[in-house]
Amino acid sequence: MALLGKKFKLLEVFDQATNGQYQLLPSRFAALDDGRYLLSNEVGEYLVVTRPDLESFIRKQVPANTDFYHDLKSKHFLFDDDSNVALDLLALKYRTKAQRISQFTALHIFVISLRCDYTCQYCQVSRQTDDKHAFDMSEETANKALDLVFKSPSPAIKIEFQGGEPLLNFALIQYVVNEANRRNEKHQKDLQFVITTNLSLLNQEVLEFCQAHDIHLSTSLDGPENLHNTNRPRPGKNGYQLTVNGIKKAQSFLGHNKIGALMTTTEKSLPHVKSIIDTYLENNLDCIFLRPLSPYGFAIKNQQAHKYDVDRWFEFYKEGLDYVLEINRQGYQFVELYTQLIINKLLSPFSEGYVDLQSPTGAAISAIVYNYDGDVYASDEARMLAEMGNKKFRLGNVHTDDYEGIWLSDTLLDTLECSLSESIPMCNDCGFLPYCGTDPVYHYATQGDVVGHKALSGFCNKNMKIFKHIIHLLEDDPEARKILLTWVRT
Amino acid sequence: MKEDVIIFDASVFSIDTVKRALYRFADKCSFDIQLKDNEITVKIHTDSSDDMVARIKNEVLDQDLRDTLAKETANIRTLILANAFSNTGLIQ
Amino acid sequence: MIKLHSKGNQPLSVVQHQKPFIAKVTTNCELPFGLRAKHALMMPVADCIPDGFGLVLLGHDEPCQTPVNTLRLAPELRYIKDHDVIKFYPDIAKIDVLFRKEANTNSFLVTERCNSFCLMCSQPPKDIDDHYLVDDMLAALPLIHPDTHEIGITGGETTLVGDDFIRLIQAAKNHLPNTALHILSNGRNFKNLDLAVQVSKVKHPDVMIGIPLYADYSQLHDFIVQADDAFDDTIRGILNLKRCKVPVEIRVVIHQQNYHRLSRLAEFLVRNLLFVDHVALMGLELMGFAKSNLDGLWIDPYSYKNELKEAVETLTRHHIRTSIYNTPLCLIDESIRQYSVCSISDWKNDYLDICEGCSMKNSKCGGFFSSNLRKVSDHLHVI
Repeated sequence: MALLGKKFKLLEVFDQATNGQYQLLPSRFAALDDGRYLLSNEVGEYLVVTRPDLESFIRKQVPANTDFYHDLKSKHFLFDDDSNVALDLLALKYRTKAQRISQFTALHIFVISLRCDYTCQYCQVSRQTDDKHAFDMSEETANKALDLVFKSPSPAIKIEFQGGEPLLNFALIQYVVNEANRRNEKHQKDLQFVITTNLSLLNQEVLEFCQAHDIHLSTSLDGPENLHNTNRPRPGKNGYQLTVNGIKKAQSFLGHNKIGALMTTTEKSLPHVKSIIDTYLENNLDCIFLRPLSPYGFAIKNQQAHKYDVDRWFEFYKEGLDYVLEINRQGYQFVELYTQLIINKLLSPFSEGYVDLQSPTGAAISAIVYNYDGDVYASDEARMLAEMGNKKFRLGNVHTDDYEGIWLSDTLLDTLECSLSESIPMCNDCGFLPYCGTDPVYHYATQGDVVGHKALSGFCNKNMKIFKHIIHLLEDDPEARKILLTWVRT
Repeated sequence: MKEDVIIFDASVFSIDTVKRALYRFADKCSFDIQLKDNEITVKIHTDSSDDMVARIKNEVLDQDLRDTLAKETANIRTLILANAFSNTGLIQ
Repeated sequence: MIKLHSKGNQPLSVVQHQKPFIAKVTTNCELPFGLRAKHALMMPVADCIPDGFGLVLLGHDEPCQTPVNTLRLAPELRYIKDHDVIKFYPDIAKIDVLFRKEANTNSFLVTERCNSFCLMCSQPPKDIDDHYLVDDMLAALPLIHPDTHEIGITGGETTLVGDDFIRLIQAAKNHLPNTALHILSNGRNFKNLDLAVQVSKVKHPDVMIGIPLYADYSQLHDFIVQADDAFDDTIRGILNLKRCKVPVEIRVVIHQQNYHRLSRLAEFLVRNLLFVDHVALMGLELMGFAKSNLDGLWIDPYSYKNELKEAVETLTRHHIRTSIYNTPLCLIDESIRQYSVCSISDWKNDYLDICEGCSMKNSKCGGFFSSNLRKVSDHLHVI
């Protein structure tokens, strides 16, 4: 290169790799579409490659001094004799990702009462009764649960009040908030509260309490009035009105960011994704979570039917995401939360704390459920399964078991062990592994086995479709990519 | 119910590789597998209208690459993990 | 362009100094007698010259009576003001301006020696004994105004001064506890954790080490700095510094050899070094080696506009504080102009005729290095 002065040596002089040889670093791949593969490493960095490129990479035939070689090297798919700092960096990145496990459990769910004023078809747990004593959590149980909450090593603790309808037992919520704050004076954790409520009972007293203690509200909004009221029947047939009135009140009294809504997808929702999203826009909500059909309802009984449901649900999701992207293109920021979660898993060096998409499972590591009667479950789904008659994932009871007894219970340890994707057939060499999870409760519920056969798994089928779709958008649709990138949060 | 047969050369593909590839089709097919005289014979029973023979052949090729990748990187993976959970406290 | 050194000073009386004299400048003729010997008195206009000052600098050409140690300043140094710090060489009547109170940045060159040999080095290394540079800085530090916003330490490779490296940081902390300290280093010597530990033990309240990383893979970086293993050493150095919680800035000079990897480099930083405190993406300064390697290094910043945009977006998306240095605003995509910083030291900063009438001149646009005026982009325009 005559472009440089004589004192300077050429690029080749500084290449200490031996004859263009390289070593492979741990990675996996999965087919994306007809011609392309997703190649990902242990810590979630990825490249989209063609079949010939993939093969030449694994057969160690990629020529040095090509962009492909440099991309593989820079993203830590290979290293050569010129540099071995990749090993240090990979170890560091791995430790960063794994940090979630050492800081477990951030989310503590208190089932304040099983009583509810709704009679939703998909709800497995609610009771219609006035008998407070039978289905409300007691102060004594709450205190025992709080003992466990403050034993968690996580520096941030979120206590979520669930039901039934937790506001039916508002006095206990007040008690738990005050008691937790009192105890936290000593522990100094970053403590947050959320009430998951249908808002029917949202009155001034509740609002003022929420304001005083910076409590977030989370409600259910399934879509437009008809759909919402069909999904979520309430005596008086006014559930939708109560909900949107409650949302408006909370937004104006507590602030826009203090209330969020979640939707449950039923078979009846499937044709209406656009009007569901419109309902969210009408109610000034800036995000939606297009949730999959729950396996704990009608679909659980028949595996094939469930797979069919996944395909239909995916069309629902895709149509919804298209519409959400269109809303963004029109200059209004509106986020689909599951997509956002996956975008972050793809692009951020951190691990995300969403319970269902983790390996080992987020059950008990990220979240734990204290039932009204003191029973402790590894996840909300585990509790639902129990209410359907199967207590497989019951970890213990706050009245009879201590912290070690619950977190080191055989049930939990077995579940965790079985839920490492690295050891699950088909997961262990899947390119989507760094972004996926294992969900043992789901697989137990649908296949009778916590590991499950992924070829038959609706969970696997659903997530593969979503991953492929999102990567396709990132790779092939520059306009969508631009929008999706604005959803990244670090 | 259709039936097809694919024969793999056992000196090219290991029986494990073939089995791991077939596992992925458990939702669509059932299989009889035989290893004899350096030949792996796979009998496929399926209701699917897809070209399962072509798909399975491709999958075996992919699985073969996966096995190479896993084998080649097993040691280095252990090394990285050991490193990750030993030394210093730097976390991003 | 402001001159920081001149030999064109004229002694008007006996010079009593035997050794170089480092002093703070004052214009106050009434300074108490006890303080005068260690000050240089600057007299911009003809007036009666008081006795007792360590040095008297005349900033005018009028004839006047002159006590001992009086000089007529070279015309290019007559900007010298209160609180500036100078070094006077009695044998050759040379003056170096070590510190200017009014400057946007003040950097101390502490060595010209280096263990790299970067293609675009603006301060080509010299293998000489230049230890006096450290002594100059140690002497100047107590004289610097305590309100000074920031001072810099530059080289050569600053860590090559050995134990003095830590001594300098300690002295900066002792004398200027409220002044930010910005140190340039190629980071390679920090591969020894011990050096990083020593830096952190000084507990300087506001230190930042600026370390260059020119590529996302070793071969290209090593070629650009002309040193084998530099990439690995530098990365390990950065990791060690961050282990010790020492703030680190990554500095990327963009040129013909590396611009095509710029967005990949940004991705590499986000994935591997997300904990760095600042990333500066810098245009090329056509000084030193950059001038002799011009054909291999020059690229019109307009042609890497998209790469720069993508890199800035990647970094800022992940909340890495990012700045663009040394690049005229009109060559930067509008969406990322907010990250551009007027970074060029005022003494080597200029504009072109074409910049006349531009609304950004002398405000948001950093303009040019004086040395870059001969080779400019074809796409400059008024905005």
